[in-house]
Amino acid sequence: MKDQIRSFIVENFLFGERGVEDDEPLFDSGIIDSLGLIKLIAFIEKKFNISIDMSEIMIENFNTLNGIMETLKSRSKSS
Amino acid sequence: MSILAYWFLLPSKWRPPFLLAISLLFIALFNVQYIPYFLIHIGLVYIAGLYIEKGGRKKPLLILILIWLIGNLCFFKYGELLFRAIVEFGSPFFPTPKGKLPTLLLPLGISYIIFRCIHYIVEVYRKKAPRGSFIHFALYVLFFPTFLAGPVERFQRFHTQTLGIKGPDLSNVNQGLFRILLGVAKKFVLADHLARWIIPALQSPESYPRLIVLLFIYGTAIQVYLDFSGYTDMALGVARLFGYQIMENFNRPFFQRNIGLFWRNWHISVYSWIRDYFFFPFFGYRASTLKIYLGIFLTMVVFMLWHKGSLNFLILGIYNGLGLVLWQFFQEIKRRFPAVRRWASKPFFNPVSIFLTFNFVSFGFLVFFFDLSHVYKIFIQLF
Repeated sequence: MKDQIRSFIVENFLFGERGVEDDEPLFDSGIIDSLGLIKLIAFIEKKFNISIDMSEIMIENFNTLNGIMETLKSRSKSS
Repeated sequence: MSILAYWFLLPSKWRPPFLLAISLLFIALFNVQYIPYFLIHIGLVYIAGLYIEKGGRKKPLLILILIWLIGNLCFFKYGELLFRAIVEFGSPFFPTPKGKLPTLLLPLGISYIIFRCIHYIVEVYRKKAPRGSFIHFALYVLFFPTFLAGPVERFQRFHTQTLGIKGPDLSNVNQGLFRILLGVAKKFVLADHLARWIIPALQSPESYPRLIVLLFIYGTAIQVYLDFSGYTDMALGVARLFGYQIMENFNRPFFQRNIGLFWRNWHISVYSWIRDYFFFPFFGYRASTLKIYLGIFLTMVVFMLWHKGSLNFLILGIYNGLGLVLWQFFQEIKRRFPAVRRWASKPFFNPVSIFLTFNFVSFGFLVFFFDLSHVYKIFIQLF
């Protein structure tokens, strides 16, 4: 799952020019912006057939690859 | 004196009520009538938070309290403007009051207070923030260093610090004093002098050569930054004296390489607030691309009109909103055309982007000081 999300980020926001580390800040470093976050969430929902609640759409929850995985894990625990 | 009392006389559990008392005293210095008005708001929001946390009729109550808070903000910020517009444009059609119109007493810091209240109640509803005690919540809303002009700190961060303040901390005091001095230098030495020099000069742009007019325009942007970030430095410094590390409001905005990054690093606490509580809920959830672009544009318009309900700020919002949308189009072009992408990733593109972004925002900041016809006059001289 993590690698698929990583590939999406690399392909769509870094244009395949370099990779992205697990703890690299995506938002703070300007790799993704608000629009990018919406695209990323749309990708995750479609690809993994899950529904992310509106209240979870916060930069802090999606700022790193590890953070995204944590958010998705805690989501699956609570549902 | 209050700093010494705070650190050395009071046990840690008495520090929050002490800071709240100082904050109320600070507000009373401006107008004692603000205190009951603010406390009513804080009380209502806190009671609503209690009820929501207990699992009552959560959503209707949340909506009700949001309408109350936003209604208050709009009434005080835009009520007079709307009333004057009705009187002015309605006079041919229906009887309107004659003579001088009454002026609303805008409670100082109201938008920051309302923003903090909205943030708190939404996050309690989402179960992302602790409810805290009434004293802690009231202190968060009215904390005197950030009461007048922000930043709009997030409750969870503030509350953690309120609970965690233990003994006196000399490093906090040192850093706080340094930050206050930095703010004083920015605001009262640099920004105020720059304003006294540049603004009168730009009143008659025809008296200066183009290059000088351009430098004056850059100067206005730098003046706005120094003025506002100077205030922020002072607020953060005073907060630090009492052991609080409040979120930063500016992060080298003039060194950002595009308009999107610029606004993410300018007045961060309010811009991110509007993003989290306006853009994402209304435009960012399973939205079409068109709706997202509209959201980006409207978020900027709302952000600017929040500063002041005037034609100038509406134009500034449209100008920057269009800038953000165009930037997103460029991103799309980069995505689709590798040649453009290769060109945009060349080493020279970075400084050029920073320079272009700085120019774009500097031209926009002119409306902080001049009406639109005068801005046009400046542009005529420049081009």
